[in-house]
Amino acid sequence: MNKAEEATPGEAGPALVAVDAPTRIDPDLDFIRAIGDQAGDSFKLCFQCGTCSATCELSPETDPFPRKEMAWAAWGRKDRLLSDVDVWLCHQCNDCSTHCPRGGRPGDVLAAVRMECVEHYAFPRFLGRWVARPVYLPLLLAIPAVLLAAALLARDGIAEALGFTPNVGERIIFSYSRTFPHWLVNGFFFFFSFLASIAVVVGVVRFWRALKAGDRQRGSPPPVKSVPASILSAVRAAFTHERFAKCTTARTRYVSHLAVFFGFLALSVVALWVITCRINPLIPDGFVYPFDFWSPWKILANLGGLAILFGGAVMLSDRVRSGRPGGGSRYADWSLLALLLLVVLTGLLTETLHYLRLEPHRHATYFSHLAFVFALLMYLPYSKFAHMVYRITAMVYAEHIGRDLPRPPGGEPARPPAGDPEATEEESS
Amino acid sequence: MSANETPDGGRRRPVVALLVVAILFPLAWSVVARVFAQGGRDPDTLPVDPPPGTAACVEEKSTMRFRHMDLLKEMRIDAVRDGNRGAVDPVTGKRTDITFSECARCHASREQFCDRCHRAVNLEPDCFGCHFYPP
Repeated sequence: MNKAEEATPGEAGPALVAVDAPTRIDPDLDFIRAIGDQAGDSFKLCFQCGTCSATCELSPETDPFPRKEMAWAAWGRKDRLLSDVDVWLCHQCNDCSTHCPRGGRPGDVLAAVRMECVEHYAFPRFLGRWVARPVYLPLLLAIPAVLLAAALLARDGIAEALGFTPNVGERIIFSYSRTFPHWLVNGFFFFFSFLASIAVVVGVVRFWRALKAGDRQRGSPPPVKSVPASILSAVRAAFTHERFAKCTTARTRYVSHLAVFFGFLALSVVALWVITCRINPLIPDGFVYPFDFWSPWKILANLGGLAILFGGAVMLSDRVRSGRPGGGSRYADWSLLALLLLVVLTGLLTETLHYLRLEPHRHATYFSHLAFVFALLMYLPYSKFAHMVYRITAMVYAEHIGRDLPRPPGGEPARPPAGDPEATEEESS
Repeated sequence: MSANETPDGGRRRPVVALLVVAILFPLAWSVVARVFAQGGRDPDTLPVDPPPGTAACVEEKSTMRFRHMDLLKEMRIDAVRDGNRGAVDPVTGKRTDITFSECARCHASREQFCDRCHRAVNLEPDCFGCHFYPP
């Protein structure tokens, strides 16, 4: 905020004013404390040697991270960190934390900053706070259970009022659609997914604007790539996991994240397919959920679930194993991993109990499965799962501004190219 | 962030391509299955519907088509193992016997109703090794 105030007087050359005027720093003590709570106080040991930036495989040549972020964290520069695209280009390989001569943990600090970021841009903000604090966990798990139970209690009344009749015989069909009809599950999840997607869009727009505003304030060079082209590059990078592949210290992250990523993608595709069953011409009429065991869709779903179990087990063992090089684990890490594993385990258990024809049990586990799915998807904008959208946004932004391209030297912040004031003007308008 | 900076990106690409193909496979399969189902369905292999005016079946047609085997299994356990060979509906007072004779009242021909569809899908259920379907 200091910079903004300083920058306003000189409309003609805001960048020069911002850079050259002496800057008074008002450290945000709460922010320093919050980072310290999550990442440990090791960032206060930093003496700015830059070993972290030098060892990082992902850091660009110009203005590399995470040295500057360590300074900002120690100074409580919340404004800089929350509008810093580099924080999200970090994939927490922990090469920096391993090599820090002072025992600092830049990898953990950036992870903590990312969660601060998620909470800061959350909409509505109170949900960001709830998901970030362990005290609210029982409440957050009770919400889906109560909502789902209420929906089930109201089921028959709604069905009668709207004239929904089950199209299957009660006696022989061993499906779930008696207890959890398609219209109920679809309507329930559509409604809350819609709310969650609003939260995602608001959060991403806030984040993107903050990135833009930060760069404009510092008079950074104009974008080098169109947004659609940047999206393509970023999505390609996310699919290939090429940034994870560069990690040296945390090698297993490439494998575990790849497995979880594609497992989740497979499950999402199957879920989207099956919810269209009433209108999908490629699903035969009279289709009764679940799919047969040997249906390609069912095979894909089972493989996806197993892939997440495998990847999640690797992640869990990495986090539990003592003496793991680098990263510590915070509440945000544990809760997301636990939730992901619970979703898959209850899903596979429901399937098993279904094949065993265990009548009340399969419905009870399906209920808990749906509640966990709700928690995973509806709290996505506020949990660590939000990295899905924020990191992609940051990767798009990095492509957009050409973050990886060599830029004119001059340290931080980057100056606009000399003799090209037009471009800066255009960008800031 | 460009791909060619990855030291062994060339080796990892096929893995990702394979995973994407695996995820898209069921979709392709569904399309192909649909195309072939439309082109290749032979009406002579479908079960023959009972004449109009006969009583309603115990379940809806689509349900019976997909899950009649489950019903038959359940009824077999009821009748043969538990000795429950019929029930009186408490509301209508109508008695329903658990026997193939009930089916045969509307679906008179086993050949037309059961066998040709089973043959068409290359299925040899062993029901009729023990159980009698009235001709």
